[in-house]
Amino acid sequence: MNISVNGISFAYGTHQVLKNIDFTLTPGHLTFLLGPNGSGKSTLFKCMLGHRKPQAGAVSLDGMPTTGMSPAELAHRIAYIPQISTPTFNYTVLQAVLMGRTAHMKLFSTPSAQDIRIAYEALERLGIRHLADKGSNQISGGEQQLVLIARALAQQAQVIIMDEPTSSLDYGNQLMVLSQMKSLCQDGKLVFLSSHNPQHAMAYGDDVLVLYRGKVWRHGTPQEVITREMIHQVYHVDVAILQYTDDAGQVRHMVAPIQGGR
Amino acid sequence: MQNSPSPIPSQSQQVASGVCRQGSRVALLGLLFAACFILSFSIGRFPISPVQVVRVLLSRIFPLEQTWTKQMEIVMLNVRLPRIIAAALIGAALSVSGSVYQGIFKNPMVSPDILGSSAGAGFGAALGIFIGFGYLGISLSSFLFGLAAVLMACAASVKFKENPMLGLILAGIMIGSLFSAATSFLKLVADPTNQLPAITYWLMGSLASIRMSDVKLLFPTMLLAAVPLYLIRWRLNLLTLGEDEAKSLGINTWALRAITILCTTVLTSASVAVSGLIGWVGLVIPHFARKAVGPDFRYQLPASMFIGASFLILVDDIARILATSEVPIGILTAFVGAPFFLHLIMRGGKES
Repeated sequence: MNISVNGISFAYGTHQVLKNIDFTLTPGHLTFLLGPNGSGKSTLFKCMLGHRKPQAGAVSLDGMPTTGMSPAELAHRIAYIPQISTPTFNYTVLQAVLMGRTAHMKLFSTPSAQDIRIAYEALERLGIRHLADKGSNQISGGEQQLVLIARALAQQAQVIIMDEPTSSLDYGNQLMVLSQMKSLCQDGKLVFLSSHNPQHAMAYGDDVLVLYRGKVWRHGTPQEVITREMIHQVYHVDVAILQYTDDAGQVRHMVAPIQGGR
Repeated sequence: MQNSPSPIPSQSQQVASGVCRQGSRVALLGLLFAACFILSFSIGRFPISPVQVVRVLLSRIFPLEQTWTKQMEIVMLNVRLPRIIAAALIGAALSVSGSVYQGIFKNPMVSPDILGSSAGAGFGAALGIFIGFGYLGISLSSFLFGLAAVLMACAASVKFKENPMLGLILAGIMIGSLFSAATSFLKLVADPTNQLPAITYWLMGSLASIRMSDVKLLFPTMLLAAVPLYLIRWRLNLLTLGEDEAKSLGINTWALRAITILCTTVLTSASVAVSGLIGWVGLVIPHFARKAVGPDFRYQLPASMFIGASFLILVDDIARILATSEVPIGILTAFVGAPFFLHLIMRGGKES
């Protein structure tokens, strides 16, 4: 399922956040959304998820506009994974994942045996089935992020939108979560995630979209988009793009900060 | 973190154990409630043995040989029965409202009067006494003002677009303090020989004047408000998440919140209308319920209901026997609730 953003403009009062945004994402691709603080990344997500109504333009899925869809119809197609936060109440991992099934249930229903089976499959897919009966505040940050991903899988939506998934994780968990997302894309999902780390986009992204001053500054493959010039313009810092050959003999690129550079 | 090689129980076993554990705990709490309900008939100045209590109750259904005096039956069915039923209903209603409010406001320190329903209902009753309404009029006025206070808070909060829940709480606190001030004003101008004591005593909360006619009104009202909450019990879980998160899981958060707030307001206002202000139950009992069965509303709602009902029945038993003249139940619940609240604050408001 393609997701297209067609000419979206959005303003909070007189403050224009998004100006005529236009792009299309295709399934099987992991797309990184880069952009400095305040560039409108969260607002773009809110518009795509239907939480904010843009003043102009529309979002469509395979050419069908999402404007008239109910929350449940949207949830069948797009899943949203927020940043992890300390949970107020100590739901078990299984209960948290089952919440992803709600859009598939009738209004007054509770999870069926089928929903429970799908939730276990999602946990299994991410290798955390053994956590099912643990409370949300008994597991690590990386595991919490995996639980939210499992919930999105249980939701069975083709498109997954993820808000800075690596922001509060340690180094190992950051890479683990990104390779999980990469592997979901190889299964045919469409993943669109925001990040503050160009190196992550370079290493894991199929595509990179840079949002700057309310506009799509660049959109293309990591090698095309992540350049010294782009980083200098958007983040006002100097980096070098290094090349190296990985163990498999493949040429890869790496974003390296230049000390003292500004 | 990756696939654990350790043997894990099969899926069906896991599901069964999880559901059964919480389900059987709810059943156990149901038994606790039944025990409190029956034993409370024995408690009071006129002694009746528990065996006699069960026999009298059963005799309403099965023909049993009468081993009790007519007087026992009158004390049980006309004096104690309405009071015990009312205590159970009000305890259950306040606890369920508290559970739901703590969930939808994502804050375990919230109590069901946060949106001003108790302050509104208190004012309604004071106004009824001041004007000189009869008992039913006072209750009705109290109920309607409780509903009105929350509707006003909701209307005032519409302007807060960015953070609707914060807006709702602020508006609720504002409306609540307006009604409290209005109640104080009524006390100031009320006739000090009979109206003022009546208002004061009513605000302390008591079940002493409950009659069967009250129960007959209270029961259907509460049932009407509790059934929708029970039907949407699974979806209530999603309201404890962030706003955007809940929406993207496919629920209409606005409609769900509106139904939830309406039903809890009816429960709270109906409670205050017959019993006066009984604080702390709605704040404290949900914590015990979550300790027993966890936060999932499929189990938390019935657990809250049973624990709340048992708790208020027991506290009312104490109110009946503690002193020669009756102690208002609102005072007793505060004696239990306030120290517990302090305990919560010292633990940083965290769930275990």
